[in-house]
Amino acid sequence: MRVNPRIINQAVRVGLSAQALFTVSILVVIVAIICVKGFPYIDFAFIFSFPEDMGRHGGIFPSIVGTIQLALLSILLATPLGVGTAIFLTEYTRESAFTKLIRFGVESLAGIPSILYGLFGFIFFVIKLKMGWSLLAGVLTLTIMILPTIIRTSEEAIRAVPRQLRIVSYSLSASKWETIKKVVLPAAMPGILTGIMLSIGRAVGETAAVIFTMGSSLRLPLSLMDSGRTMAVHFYILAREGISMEKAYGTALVLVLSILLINVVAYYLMNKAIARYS
Amino acid sequence: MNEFALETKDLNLYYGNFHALKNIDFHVHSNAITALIGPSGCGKSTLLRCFNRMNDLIEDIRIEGGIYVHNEKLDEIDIINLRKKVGMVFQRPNPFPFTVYENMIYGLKVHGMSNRRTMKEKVEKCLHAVGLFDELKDKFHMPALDLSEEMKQRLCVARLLTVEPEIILLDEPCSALDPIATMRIEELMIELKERYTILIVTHNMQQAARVSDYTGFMLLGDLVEFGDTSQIFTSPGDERTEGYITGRYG
Repeated sequence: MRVNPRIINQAVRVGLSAQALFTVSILVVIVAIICVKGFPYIDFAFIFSFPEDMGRHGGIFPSIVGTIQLALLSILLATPLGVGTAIFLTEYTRESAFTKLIRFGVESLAGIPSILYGLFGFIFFVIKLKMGWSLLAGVLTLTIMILPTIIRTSEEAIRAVPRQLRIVSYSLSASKWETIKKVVLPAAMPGILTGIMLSIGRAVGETAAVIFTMGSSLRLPLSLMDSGRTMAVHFYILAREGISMEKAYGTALVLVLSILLINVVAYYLMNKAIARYS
Repeated sequence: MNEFALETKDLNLYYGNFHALKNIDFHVHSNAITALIGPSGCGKSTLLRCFNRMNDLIEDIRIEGGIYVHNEKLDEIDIINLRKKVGMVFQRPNPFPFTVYENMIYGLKVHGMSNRRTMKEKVEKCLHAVGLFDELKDKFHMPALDLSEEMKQRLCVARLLTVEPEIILLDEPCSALDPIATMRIEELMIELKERYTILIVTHNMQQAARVSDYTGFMLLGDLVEFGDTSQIFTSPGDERTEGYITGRYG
């Protein structure tokens, strides 16, 4: 018997909205739990004071600073490297076995679990290069970890810029580099920014790769060679070792709120860029 | 010897094994409009693109014979200078996805200009030249992609004029425009020929007849006939030309 297409349509509609609702509600539940459990512990002192007694008391100021340092420096390193690689792959090479190899490498890197990056960072930066547990080792490890995301998203964005725009630029007697700098990159900017934002999110939320390389010192990192503890790592240790669930939830809430803030700011910047360039 | 703005001598061009232009002897007079007509795939755009070396971007292309810009051999002109001298307007209006003003100063910046006042004066002058100034004077900072198709194409012409070309190549500049916009662009061409040399490729025979002083008819890579536009359209010397302009094929 043939089922009435209108009924199938309705069923699909209901089914799909149920799926969407399910996905969103999980997210909402997680955020809600963190908010409810963490909110009572957040105040001015929690954010701006130093932890005491392994984090059982006091605030998380050094972790907030450490998170910002780590994410910011990694992005500052990975962005020029990643965007540069993407420009090379799209504008300066023809599709060949060589570019396929690079692309394959990039994709493989993107699929490696972060703990392996942590292990590599530990063996190479911390031990071999004698950096010790330090902000520097953490930054270098995270840079390698987020590079593939930046390369892939930048490459897609650059590829999406119409070829015609490059040709016009040449016809106005611009050189290749001028064309890339003044036409291709600005036009690809929204896409490139998306990749950068995704990467910031990854860097801020990362634990495994950080704990092995930047360590988990509770002091405020004042130089590149200091160890430090990001909010994600702080949360992990507080919860894992049962030091203080209250402080753990407080930290988690600050972490979630800062990621939310980053995303809101990113969307705002991105919409501005998009409005300008399209 | 007569000096032509553009000239080719025994020009042959191959895309891989395909012989796209065959022994072309062609010239373009200064301060006049020369039109190239012919059915699709006859090589007219390919010939046009030879003059600012836009064909360089295509792989597997081979060019033999002489191409001259103001009697100077093309190969001996630095490509940046060549493209400054020989500008081009494309089939589809293609402003950059930036503001009107940023589009207009693009060429100026590429040529190293940085003084804001001089740039602004230049932009205003070129927008006047294409009749866009009054409409756009308060809209310098709107996105160029929000303009109508005709205004975009005018903007592209204005953007080109900022770099002060001597010769303008137009590659079917009206094929994406409606008839009224087409008429306006044609009027613009006639105004511009006072100061510029224009070579236009067009699909539209009436357009060639309306605006050009000289017309070349191309077919399958040959330049079949070249002469005064009035002569080509009233008493063509070759029956293939006659066949095309009377609409027997096209």
